[in-house]
Amino acid sequence: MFLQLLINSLIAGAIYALVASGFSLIYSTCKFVHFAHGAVVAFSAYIAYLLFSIWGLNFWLAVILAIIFGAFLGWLINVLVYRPLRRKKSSSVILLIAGFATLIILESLILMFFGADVKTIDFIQTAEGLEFFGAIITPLQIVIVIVSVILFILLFLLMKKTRIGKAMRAVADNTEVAEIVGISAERIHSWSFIIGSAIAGIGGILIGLEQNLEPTMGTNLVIKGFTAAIIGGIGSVPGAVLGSFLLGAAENFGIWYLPSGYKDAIAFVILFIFLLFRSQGILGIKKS
Amino acid sequence: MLKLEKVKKYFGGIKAVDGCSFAIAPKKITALIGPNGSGKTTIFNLISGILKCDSGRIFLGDKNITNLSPHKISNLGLSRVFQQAHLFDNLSIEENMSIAIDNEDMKFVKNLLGLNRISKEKKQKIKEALNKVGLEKSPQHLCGELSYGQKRLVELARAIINPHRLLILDEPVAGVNPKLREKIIKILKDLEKAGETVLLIEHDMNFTFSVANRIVVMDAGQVIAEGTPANIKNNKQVLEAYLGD
Repeated sequence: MFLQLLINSLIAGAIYALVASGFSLIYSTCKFVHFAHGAVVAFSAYIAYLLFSIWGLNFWLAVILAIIFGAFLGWLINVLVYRPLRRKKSSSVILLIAGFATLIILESLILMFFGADVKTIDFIQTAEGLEFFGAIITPLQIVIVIVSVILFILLFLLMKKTRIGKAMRAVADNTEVAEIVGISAERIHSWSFIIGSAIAGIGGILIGLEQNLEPTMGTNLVIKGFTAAIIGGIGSVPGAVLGSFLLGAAENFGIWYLPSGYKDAIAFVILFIFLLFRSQGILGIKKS
Repeated sequence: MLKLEKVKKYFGGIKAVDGCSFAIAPKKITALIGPNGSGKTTIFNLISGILKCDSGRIFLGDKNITNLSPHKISNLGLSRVFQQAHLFDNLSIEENMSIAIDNEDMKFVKNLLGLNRISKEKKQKIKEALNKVGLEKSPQHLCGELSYGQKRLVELARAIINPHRLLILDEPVAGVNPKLREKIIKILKDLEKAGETVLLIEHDMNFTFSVANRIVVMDAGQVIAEGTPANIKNNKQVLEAYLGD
């Protein structure tokens, strides 16, 4: 039982981390909560479904196009919604509300184009689970965990080793100084949206393969991603990944003692505890 | 090198800069002095693009930089040190320097493929700049963990290696100990010998008169005098602005 819950925690954590890492990357450079990130996750999954399941495109081509679409959608949201508001010096609360509105609009578009009924991407037929010491894990779940880990390593290397990553960390640290040393903060914001949304796109497709698609799937995922980012330390990408795995563990081990319907409640109780007692999260730095 | 023409900046009813005009010559150290609230830092913020001018024009060389964004002005050749140390606290000393040394190349594919790594020559330049300020031994230290004086030195070194034609320094020796002050004076004298153009703000008159070739004096948002340190020392209008009637 313990091992099964541990495996379930890893899978849930990997899924949350795919949402939370991009979300946290965007927060760190732009300093506002981008709730429309959830719509990017959902839209990417639906585009993969449209290209592969409806139009019959090659699966891998459909996946690549869906990821590109996710990155493009994130960039477009920044250009059309957030950038004009930032230029008007709007507060982060205004940006947050705009993000919520965008999330609702995009989910409504999914509803309009694809309908309310649940969809499935039938690439992998239900496979036999593999057994490890009595615990079951499917090949797709193994793929989810491996892809997530590879993505986090790549994201870490991008942030640490490349000049664009350093520039992102510089903008996250102090936008005014970054501009003074010649970095265009707007360009860095765009790259954050593109990279963060591409990761969200990959997350959306993997979640779409593992679970069913429904128009509001992004809302639940972005709330979990947000919770994970708060736990790990909002604005810290490694923190968001750590928070995601902790959240996944708390939810799955929590239902060892509580009925499974309390899963979401466990996440929100943890969110409140962190907001009340350690709002900077585990890896975040407390602002004086 | 730098020319301001009738520059104005009002904050509500407060005339922070009120029709200010002056020019600074290349390869000289020019000091901008004046009593508190005379508009010196506002002038620096207007030159570097942090604030937008209400009217007037600013030229860097022959390029009109009025109201351009700070990163564009930086890439046209302006490098700045702030009144309080402004560093990337979560980045190491070396990362602070490497970001400044070559900031314009942010092409994504080049970045992903690692084609735009900092060259050996640039690494050497960073080392030399850190050597100049005595911080070469700990380039991996996070800037947030440095003392105030060390932060000022890193910021000065970063401004020096940021590709520039004009260096503007806002109170470079404010709040530093006498030993560090001497070090900064030496760095500035070396910069002058190397043919750099520097514009600085400083309240410490002994420091200003020891490093500046030319002085511009401001009061109430306007330029009230310009000249050599010897001329300014004996200027009646300047003495009145500082000492009152």
